[in-house]
Amino acid sequence: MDKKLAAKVLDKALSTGADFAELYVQNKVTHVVELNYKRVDNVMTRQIYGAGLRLMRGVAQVYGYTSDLSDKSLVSLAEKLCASFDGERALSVKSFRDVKNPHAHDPEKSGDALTTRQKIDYLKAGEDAAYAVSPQVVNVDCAVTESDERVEIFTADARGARRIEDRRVRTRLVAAAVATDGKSFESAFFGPGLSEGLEIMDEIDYVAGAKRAAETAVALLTAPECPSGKLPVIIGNKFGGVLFHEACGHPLEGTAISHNTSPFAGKLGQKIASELVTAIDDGTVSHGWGSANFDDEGEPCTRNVLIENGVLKSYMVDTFDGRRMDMKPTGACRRESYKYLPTTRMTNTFIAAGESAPEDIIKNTEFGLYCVSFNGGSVDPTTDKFNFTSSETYIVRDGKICELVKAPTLTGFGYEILPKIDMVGNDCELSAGNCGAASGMVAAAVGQPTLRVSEMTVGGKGEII
Amino acid sequence: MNTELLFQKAKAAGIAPFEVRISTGSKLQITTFNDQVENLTVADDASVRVRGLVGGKCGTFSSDNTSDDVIDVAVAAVAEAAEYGQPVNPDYFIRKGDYEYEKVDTFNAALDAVSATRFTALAKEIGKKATELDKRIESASVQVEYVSSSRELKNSNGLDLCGAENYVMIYCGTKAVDGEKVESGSYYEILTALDGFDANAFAEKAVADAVDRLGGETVASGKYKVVYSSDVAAALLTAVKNGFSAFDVEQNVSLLKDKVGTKVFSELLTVEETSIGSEPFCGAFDDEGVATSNKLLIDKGVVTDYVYDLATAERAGEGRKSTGNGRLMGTNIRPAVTFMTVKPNADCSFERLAQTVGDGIYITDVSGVGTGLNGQSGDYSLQASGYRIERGKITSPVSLITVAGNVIKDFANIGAIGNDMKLTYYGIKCPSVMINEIAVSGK
Repeated sequence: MDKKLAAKVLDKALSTGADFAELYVQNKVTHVVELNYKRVDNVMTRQIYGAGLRLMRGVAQVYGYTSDLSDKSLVSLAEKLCASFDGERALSVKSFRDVKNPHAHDPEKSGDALTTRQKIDYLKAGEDAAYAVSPQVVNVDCAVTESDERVEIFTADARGARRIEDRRVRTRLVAAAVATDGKSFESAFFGPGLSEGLEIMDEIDYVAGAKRAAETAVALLTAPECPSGKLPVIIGNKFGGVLFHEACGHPLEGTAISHNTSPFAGKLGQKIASELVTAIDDGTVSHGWGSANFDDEGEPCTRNVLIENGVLKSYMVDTFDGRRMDMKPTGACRRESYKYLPTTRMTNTFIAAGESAPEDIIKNTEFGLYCVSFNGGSVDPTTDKFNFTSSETYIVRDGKICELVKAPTLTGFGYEILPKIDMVGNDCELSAGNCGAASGMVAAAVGQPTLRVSEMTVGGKGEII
Repeated sequence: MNTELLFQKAKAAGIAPFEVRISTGSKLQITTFNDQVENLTVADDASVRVRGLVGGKCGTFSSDNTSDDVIDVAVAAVAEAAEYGQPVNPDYFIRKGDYEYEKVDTFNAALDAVSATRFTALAKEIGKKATELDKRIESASVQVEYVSSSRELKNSNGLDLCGAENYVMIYCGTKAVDGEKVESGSYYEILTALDGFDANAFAEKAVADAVDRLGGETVASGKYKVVYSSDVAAALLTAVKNGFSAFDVEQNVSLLKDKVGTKVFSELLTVEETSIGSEPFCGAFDDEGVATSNKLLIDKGVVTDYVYDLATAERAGEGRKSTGNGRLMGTNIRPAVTFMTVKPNADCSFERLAQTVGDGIYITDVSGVGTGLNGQSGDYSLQASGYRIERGKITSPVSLITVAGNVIKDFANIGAIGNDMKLTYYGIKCPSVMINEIAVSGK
């Protein structure tokens, strides 16, 4: 965007006493190649293109967006928004200081490093392997999704007027298998993603992942129902981290804390988890799925230790929530697109590795569940009541992994679960996911090592324990 | 966008037939925290999606940039995508005059004339009332969102259709605290007019949803008679809604496969697709420009038919026609139900539903639908909360339970249907529904 136009827009927007103004310009191109229903089902390009203008005055905020980036349209938007305030001008904008970008996550391979045909052939290898598992596999959805997002953020506040530019390239591979025995359906999913370009296709064994998804879906068809009741639950690493994301991550976002609607509000310095738990939100993980150089209000992403040895040390904070909390932003302000008012969100959120070997956690469990991964879940940040559905669950009996069972739902209060984590493994890994909240759907990684919760409420359709 | 230029360039690139759909929208959203305005969002945006055939194969492109600058990019992208696209019958780009359309009036001028000041005052009023109605309400967050949109579908065969709609969604979230007990509540409505809107009654429902559920306890695991509220019933019925797709039936992933003409559900269940009307989900034409219509989907428990777009209708043969249900999903047109209405039992108030239960549970809230409801099988296992029903009356709150079942089996086992209709954001309008037996996990 022309800097002079950006300056003109922000200067106009600040004319009625706003103490913060931000123009967020986004140009994001996503490209999908998808095999589904045994054919090339989607080859599509989509462009998201527009600008959002945000003003703050104290703890009031106004926002507007448009896909018309002309001078007339943006100035009109500025006039519309500044009419919400009726004070005297406090800030002016004439020019911007450019903030240097560390380029920590630049891709190695761009989108045209492979032709569409090559991407189709790559996916086809995974699709063939998945169907080959069993005739009970009735559908396999294989896709590579590339997004190349360029944002330009012009911001003005008491620190001056700055211009931040960032590029986020994310690529995700997906294989979702559905199996049926004619009476019921089961599904399983493989979906690695990173802030990388097409080099991810060389790093991931896609064929093995697609095959495993199909094998899991087929195995679930004959799995007995999961028992229900209160049980020890061992949760696998990688996407098992959605446990923390739902149970603790959302209630630690400034959105809930700043309005005192989270059970963790006002608890900094208090022990809220087992001393084995150290939990981190880290937007700087090299090429992490949720990583960026800057967040969506132009603050540098940070490594933010939320809980250390069980003690609550920090929240995730953005500029607006920070005004209520009297805290500085932690580089955690995100939005799906310019159509959303940004707010505090997670980036790559995980429980740090502990000391135990994963196999010792299993050996140490007389009877319980081993949830290898989850489909996803949700939480009410006000009550911290969470739920998630396990995607692959085994009974653990006398220290051994035994039979596969059908997916149970795990529920509870996050603040009750955290103190009950009694073993933490040394095998922490991250896994890609999509998180939906007030500012839309954002790429967020979850992660953890294998860990055990001494007791959780398990909702299965099998015998009641 | 200069659509004439777009069509010329598409034709010159060998894309024929060709279509463009342009959507425009404006939005006003006010969020208050207690009775103070916290956020105000205003927006005008547009998007363009183009689709066309090259050598009989289909390519698409979409962008939020609707200026003429994007025309060359769009045409090139369609041509490139078509190389890998699926063959599509060119006759599916219908001609002007192929269909007659019902009059659908989904744009309310009086609602469009409501000022931002009035919407803001309404949000503040609801928030203020909510915090005053009960001292246990610690905070109330209100969101009033007014949306106005239009869509235009034009193609190189002379088709030129347009439609417009507007609505306001009002939402209030509350937090109730009583000693150590904390509960959150909410209530929302989707409206096409503000006439007769009672802010006090609205606030009362949001407050009650929190305070009445304070101290909710779990129940003994077992089988219970259950009333599902409108929102919960609608959430479960999304699996049924999706099962009507003739494409999903072809692909063996519909839970209604081989069930046309069969009494699958309770005879108390009658469901209609209600595209013709004045509610926000209504519309006179589908994404192929085919005229929509109202039609029975489930008639006293019997699945009447699937829904079709032009391609699935042709593949089904036997002279079948599109039912006006074509929706553009990614690159492809696929059939889908947009808006369905469950027929209420006019004589059955909610109080009578509870009396029919005697002893059971009223489920007002479920979560985890995205992962806990299997769209192909209809199996579900969801975190839930609500109230006990004892001797036909709502009594104490229930929390931290899961309800598990199968949508087909459960809606075949309906004990009664209520008359408390609600328009939900699932595109389903339905009343509370009583199911004779549901597995509940608690203690």
